[in-house]
Parts: sequence; structure tokens; C-alpha cells
Amino acid sequence: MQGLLFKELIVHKKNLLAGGMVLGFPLMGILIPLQDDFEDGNFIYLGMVIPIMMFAAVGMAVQGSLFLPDENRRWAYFIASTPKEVEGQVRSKYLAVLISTFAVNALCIFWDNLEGVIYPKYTSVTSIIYAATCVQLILRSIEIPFIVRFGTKRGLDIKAKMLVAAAFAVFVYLLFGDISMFGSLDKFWEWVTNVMKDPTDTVLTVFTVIGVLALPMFYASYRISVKLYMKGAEHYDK
Amino acid sequence: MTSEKKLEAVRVLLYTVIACGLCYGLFAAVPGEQQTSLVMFTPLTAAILTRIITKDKPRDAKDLLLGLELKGKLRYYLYAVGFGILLNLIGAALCAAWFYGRYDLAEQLSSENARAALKTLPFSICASVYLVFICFGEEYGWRAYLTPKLEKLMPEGAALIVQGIIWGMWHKPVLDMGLNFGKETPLFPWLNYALMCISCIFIGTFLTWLTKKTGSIYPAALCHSAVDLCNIMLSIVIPADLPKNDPSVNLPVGVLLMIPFPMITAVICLVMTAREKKHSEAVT
Repeated sequence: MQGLLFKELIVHKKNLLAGGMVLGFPLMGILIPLQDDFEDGNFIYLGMVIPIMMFAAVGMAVQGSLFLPDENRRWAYFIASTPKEVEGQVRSKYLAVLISTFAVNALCIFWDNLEGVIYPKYTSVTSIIYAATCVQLILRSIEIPFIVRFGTKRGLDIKAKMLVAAAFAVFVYLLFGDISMFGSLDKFWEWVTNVMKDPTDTVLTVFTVIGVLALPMFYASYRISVKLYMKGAEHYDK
Repeated sequence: MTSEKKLEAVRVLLYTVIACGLCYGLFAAVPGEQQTSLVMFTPLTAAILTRIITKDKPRDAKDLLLGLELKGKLRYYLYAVGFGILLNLIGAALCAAWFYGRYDLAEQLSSENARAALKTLPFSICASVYLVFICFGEEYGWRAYLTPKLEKLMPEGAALIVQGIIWGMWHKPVLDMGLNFGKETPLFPWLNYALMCISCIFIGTFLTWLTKKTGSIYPAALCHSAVDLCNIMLSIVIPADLPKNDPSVNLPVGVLLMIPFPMITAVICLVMTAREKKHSEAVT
């Protein structure tokens, strides 16, 4: 397993370097409040945006191309013949996703604590970091089996179609649901601040559900990917 | 003392000075409680600095205890979360029994405060998993670095006592602020230090057992995270309007939460460890 993980590190070192740019975001988070026109009320926006941008950056830089370098039949049949078998190959991919997600999680937690020490008026955003971690794991759990079965290009195409379907559902909600919090940008951030300070039952329930689902879904996704790997390999180039 | 043991003793001393120095220094430099979370990274920082200064290279990757080690050991991760939940649950039950008659427990259990705490509890348990890195910094320093070093210098039992004392005294700045036991205890702050050290010895015993059983630091971090985040259970049984500066409130709450259950668990772990040693000696 260590060997396969080391291989991921070497193969993706360019992506890791690009993902290293994620370190720029906490630095921005520390420098931005030093500007003259920064108001205390802006800390809540900063606390939300920085972790979300960090997770998104890692998601794009590292995880988007995780399977691409190994999508050829020769490698698939070779790895299936080794003692580690398909399970080891797929496990190393999932471990790479888990490690990168929790590395960003740890960095966000450290930055959140540091920000709280440097700027006393900063409000901790551990709930945002928690939610972003869970959402990242859930999205990867859904996406990776499609990539394993259909290849990166087609798998991401299917993911894009799912996102369009989700966007359509949001659009339907915006047409018929309660959108008072979207009345203006100030109203929206006021709603977000109130939710973070005193979460409603719905928010607590959603946070609990995504927490309960994320890791089991990730494991279930891994088991599904192991079963689908060789079927997907039949579609790879030689 | 052999030269190797002398070097390990120097490492323990240096680690203790750096960890406590950084903690006390941070509290002195930044007033109030805003540095409390950041200070939890000081043991990790101390471990890294001590390794660099004393050129303490790990023998192999496993020595760093950074692997997940889930295969066949998932139950220890469940024990870790279970300990955090049970410590708070049993502590809350003991507090309810201690304060019986002082207030209407039935009324407290149906109060707004208690219902809000109950609603937040499932989220707190989930958060202890996904926010495990809040406590990783502490556990890496105490369990992955200090305790193994102490075990090279003294018997296991003595090492657990010494790590508990160092860990307890590392909490000095927050104990001086009244954390866990309040500021109005008799013999303040010395009684607070002693109680904290005793609690850290017991909790440290369980955390060390978890670390040794799995060969990973994550169960200990998970356990510590669950202990801290499930603390909300106290709000279910203790009314918000009980006086905060009353030693007849703070001291029993702190003691009942942090000593009985960890003590029982520590004894169980030591008995199990002794039995396993006896069994393996009998086999060989």
C-alpha cells in the first residue's frame, strides 16, 4: 500500500504543486483584514470563503485527474496480477482522496485557530470546515465509481449532467420556495451569520445527516469501485 | 545510565520545556481565551522541534504512528468515540445524582437549554470525527512522542504517571483561569493542578492503550475530540442558572466528569495489558 501511495505522489507531483497554491488562501485570510477598508463584519465572509476555496482548489488540482494516468489496459491487467490486486490499486486512490481532504481540513483548522488569535473579532468557522469536509467526501463518493466504470472523461461528463440536474432542482426551489434570505446580499449574509450563531433544527439535522453519511458513503463507494474496476479497464486504451 | 538513555532523557526534558514554554508563552502573549485552540498545536510543535534539534530520526514510517491501521482494528476507533461519549454521559449522570435535591431534575431535563443541548448532541458526535485534527496536535505530542520516550527510561506504569503529570501541568494557564474545577476551590490553584494531573494520568492510560493497540495516533485524537465535543451533555442535566463561581458546583462537576470513569477505564486497560503480557510470556 505504501508503494502504491508513493506512486500516486510521484505521478501527481505537478498537481500537488498546483494544489500547494492552496497555502496561499490562508495567507490571504491573514493579510486581507489588514486593509484599511476591512470592517469587523467582513470576518464572517472571510471565514466562509477561505475554507471553501481551499477545498475547491484541492478538489480541482489533485482529485480531478486521479485516475487518468492509470487509464490504460496494460496497467490494469498488470495491477490485477500483483498481490495487491485491484483492491490495492483502488484503495490507494481512495486513500489519496482521503489524505488530501483531511490535509486541507487540518490546514483550515489551523488557519481558523490562528485567525482567532491574530484577530479577536474573528468568529470560528469549524462548522463550515466540517460541512466542507463532509460535502467533499460525499461528492467524491458519487463521482469516483463513474470515473472507474466509464473512464475520467466520460465519468466527469456524467458528473456534469448530475450537477445540471441538481442545479435544475435548485432553480425549481428558487421559483417556488422561501427565498427571502436572497433579497439582497446583506440579507443573505445576515441569514448565514444567524444560522452559524444559532443553527436552526433543519441546519443541525442536515449537518448531522451529512456527517453520518460521508464516511460510510466513501467506504461503500470504494467497494463499488473495486467491483467496477476491471469492467472499466476493458474500455481503456491499450 | 547508558548514553542512549541519557539522550532520551534530554529529549524528554527538551520536549517538556518547549511544549510548556510555547503554551505558557502563548497565554502570556495573548490575553483571554482566544488562543485556547491554537495552543493545542504546541505539543506537536514541540515534538517536531525536539526531533530536529536532537536529530531524532524515526526508525521507519511506522514509528511516526501516522498510518490509519484500520485493518482488524476498527473496533478501537469505535472504543475511542465510545469513551468520549461515555465519559460525558456517566459524568452527567453522576452530576445529576450529586446535585439531587438542589434543583428539579425533571424540570431541567424538559427545559429549553436541555432540549437545545440534546438536539446538538448528534452533530457534536459527528463533528468529533471530522474535526479530529483539532486534537491531533495534542495527542501527537503526548502519545506519539512523549510516552514512548518515557517508556524507554522507566517502567510502563511510571511512564504513564509522569506523562499524566507533564500533560496536567501543561494545562496550568487554563487551570489558573478556572477551567474544569473553577477558581474558588480550596487550596486554589494547587488542588486544581493535582486533580488535573490525576485525571490526565487516567485518561492518558486509556489513550496510550489505544495508541499501542492500533499503532496509530488517530484513535487517541478521535477519543480526545469526542471527550471535548460531547461535553454538551452536561448542559442537559445542569441548569444554566447554577452559580458559575460556586466551588460547591464547579469542583464536584469537574471531579465527577474527569476522574471516576477514566479511573475505571485505566484500571481495565492495565489489567488487560497485564493479562496479555502474562499470556504471551506463558506461550514463549
